[in-house]
Amino acid sequence: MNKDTYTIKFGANKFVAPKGELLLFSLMENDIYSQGKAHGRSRGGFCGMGVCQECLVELEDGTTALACQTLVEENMEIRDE
Amino acid sequence: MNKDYDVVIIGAGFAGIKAALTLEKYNLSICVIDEGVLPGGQFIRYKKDGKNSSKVPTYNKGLDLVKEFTSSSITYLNKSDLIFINEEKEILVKLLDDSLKMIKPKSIIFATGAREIVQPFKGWDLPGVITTGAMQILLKTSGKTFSDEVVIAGSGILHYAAGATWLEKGGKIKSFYDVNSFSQKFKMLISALVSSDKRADFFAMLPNMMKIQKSAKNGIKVIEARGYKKLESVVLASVDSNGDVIEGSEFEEKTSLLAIGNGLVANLDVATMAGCETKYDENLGGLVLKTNHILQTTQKGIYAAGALTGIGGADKAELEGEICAYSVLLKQNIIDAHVYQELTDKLFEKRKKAISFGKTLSTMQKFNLKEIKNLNENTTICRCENIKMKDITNAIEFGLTSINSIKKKTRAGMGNCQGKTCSELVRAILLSHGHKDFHHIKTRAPLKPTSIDILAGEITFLDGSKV
Repeated sequence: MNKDTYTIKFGANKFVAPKGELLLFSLMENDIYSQGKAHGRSRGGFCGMGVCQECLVELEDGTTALACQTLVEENMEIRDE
Repeated sequence: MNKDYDVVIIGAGFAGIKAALTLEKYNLSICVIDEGVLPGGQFIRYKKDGKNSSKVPTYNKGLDLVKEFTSSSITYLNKSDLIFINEEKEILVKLLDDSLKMIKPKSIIFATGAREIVQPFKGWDLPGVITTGAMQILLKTSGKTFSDEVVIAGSGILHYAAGATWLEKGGKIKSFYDVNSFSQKFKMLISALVSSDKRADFFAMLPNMMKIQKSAKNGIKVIEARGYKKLESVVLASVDSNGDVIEGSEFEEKTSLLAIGNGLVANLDVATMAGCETKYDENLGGLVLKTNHILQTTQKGIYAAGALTGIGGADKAELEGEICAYSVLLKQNIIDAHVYQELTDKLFEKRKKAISFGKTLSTMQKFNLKEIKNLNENTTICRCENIKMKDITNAIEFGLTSINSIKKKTRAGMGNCQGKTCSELVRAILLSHGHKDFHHIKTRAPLKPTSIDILAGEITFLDGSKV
């Protein structure tokens, strides 16, 4: 694997994403349409431009990020709530 | 970075970049605050491999602007959230590294663009339902498609543009539905061709638009999204010439991805927090900022460019960005009225055409108020707080007639997105009941969800000096 590809983990899901990819794209490309939960229901990226806040993910280090406004990073781990 | 700046520009889309580049030639200190990872706004998106090109001339023009901007000495704060702004033009911004900075510029240009609006339907909050804007952004950034079974639907023109990009990237469209009739779209086409600036873009997209048009089904809209945990199917129905659903015409189509869009609304949260007054004009896309003949808002020293003064696309944004730059120069006494007129005469002339195109766009994205009024009572209106249609109508029956009073009573607009997704819907519901509220939903700091640890941190000026 070359260094232009990153390994991403979403819960138990593991996949690779090229450098510079939007996190939301990588998730959706890997069929992860739902990134979180609200009011007991699954939620996922909707607006793609940082407005709706639906793609807010929690990273393993406890910080949060909007998947649509974040580029993938090596060993990114996202909690699957 | 400086302590103070002559001009702060909020937003690095077409309008913001053009304003910055114009001002730079006059040796002013300029700071551009942008929430994007890279400059270009929602329209210009850098592809990850750097191989960016398009058949659309306006897009390529935008790429050139971004290149010029990136190689300039203008201070560019990317991935930065504006947390607070007041009428004294004091700006609090959270930078990429989570530090809080205060900026007090002499002049401000707002170029915060627009967001997409979607007419709600049952299940529109299911994962797999995305806006056509989101689809465009994902396509442009990655350069490839991400599903084999997309259904595209909506009104206006954005879903055509998204569909054309999808085909350009080699994707297949399962079905394409348009609320508007063919004759309404034909009117749009004529308007696009009359506006010379749009003609080249239009012809560049024509082959793929024709492909879509061939299989597009007109006069059909989405009335429900179904699925367990994520989208599994959509229910569609035919509408009559008034846009009302024809009973008995409903049908279901399986899909895991629905891209839907019903037009654009201006992002006014920052501007209204700074005290700029708004007005409502359907022909301009709904709520916009009041501006005078030099695009100054009702706040002295604050100017507005692009979607904030009316929906109209990239050309209008670029023209107004340049005009705003000259208006700043005029008011900071760097150029005189005579020079101002010489520099802006042609720009204002071109702007007329861009506005006329925008008006056609706005006509196609008008809400059907009868349909809004008759929305199923269990339809979600505020996605963040899970507020239903019945909660809103109950509040109206209770006697509330403004977005802000409904917000207080129901919590609609109090969630993470601060009403950006639902406030225009509440405005439309109010209108459908005969109540005209033409104020922006009240915004509170922090404008973007920000952790308390960050808010409790020290505030400094951009050069690191103490406030």
